[in-house]
Amino acid sequence: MNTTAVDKNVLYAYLDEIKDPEIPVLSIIDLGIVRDIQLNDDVLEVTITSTYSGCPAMDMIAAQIRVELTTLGF
Amino acid sequence: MNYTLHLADSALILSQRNSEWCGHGPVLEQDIAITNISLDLLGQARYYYQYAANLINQSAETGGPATEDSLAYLRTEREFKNLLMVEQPNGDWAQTILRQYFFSQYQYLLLEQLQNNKDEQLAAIAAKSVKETTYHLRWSSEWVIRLGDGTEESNTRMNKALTAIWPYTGEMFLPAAYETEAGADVAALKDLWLQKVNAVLDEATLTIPAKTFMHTGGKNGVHTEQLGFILTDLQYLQRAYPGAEW
Repeated sequence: MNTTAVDKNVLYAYLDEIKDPEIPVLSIIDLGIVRDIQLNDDVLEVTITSTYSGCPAMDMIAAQIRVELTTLGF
Repeated sequence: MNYTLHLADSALILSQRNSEWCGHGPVLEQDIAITNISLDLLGQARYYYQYAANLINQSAETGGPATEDSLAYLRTEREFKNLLMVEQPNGDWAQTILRQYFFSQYQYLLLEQLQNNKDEQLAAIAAKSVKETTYHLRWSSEWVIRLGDGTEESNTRMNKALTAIWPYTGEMFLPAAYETEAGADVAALKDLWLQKVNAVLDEATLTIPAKTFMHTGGKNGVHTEQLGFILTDLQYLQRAYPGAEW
């Protein structure tokens, strides 16, 4: 996949497919979990934050983001 | 690093104490409330422990390798720097919510100050945590008023709780050396804390015990016997099966 010209909106749309494990109608974009996406050289950096400090789903959400973007060729 | 551990330990031990209510709350809604607060505190503790582990691993002198888990599960009583107040027994609901109120009022003021700390990571954790602490403060202060200005029995229990917990409140405002080094000024929080607490206790028709001796030592690893029992529970698995992993 061509990583030199990536439309952030496309990336946000892909991440919108990842849902909250407990409330599947809400995506991680809806919840404000995804704070930023940066492309540095060939590395795609997604910055996320937890909805609350003790959220136990963060590891799973981070893994899902990785899986999703890897499947898309990043 | 010691300051970060102090913040982490207080959050962890209070979280552990509050979690003892899980399944035993007076009503369902409050069972959920206290365990949610417990989880918030655990999350905050994790942020601090992760940061402390980083600091330890980056520093050649203090030794490592440390992880959030090794710090929580493998240190012994004298290494824990939590406030004495948070290791005290839960007692009844009155005592638990009163302890929470005293702690949350203090933590709220402290985190507001910490948001401006020169250490960016501590400031960031404080900024994130203060949002949750704002709720803990509201929840617990309302319970103090509800029970203090409630029935004769609830008022009696609140006064008993006050007698039990008040002697541990002084420690919050007596700075340990590492607090001053880290740029935290806990003595400066005392007046405002007393002002807020007096207002709430007043509305709850409760009176502050006069001339109480204040217990200290927690910040420097000298704890009441309570901590031993808490750690026995918390650390059992790692102690029985060292290095156990999923």
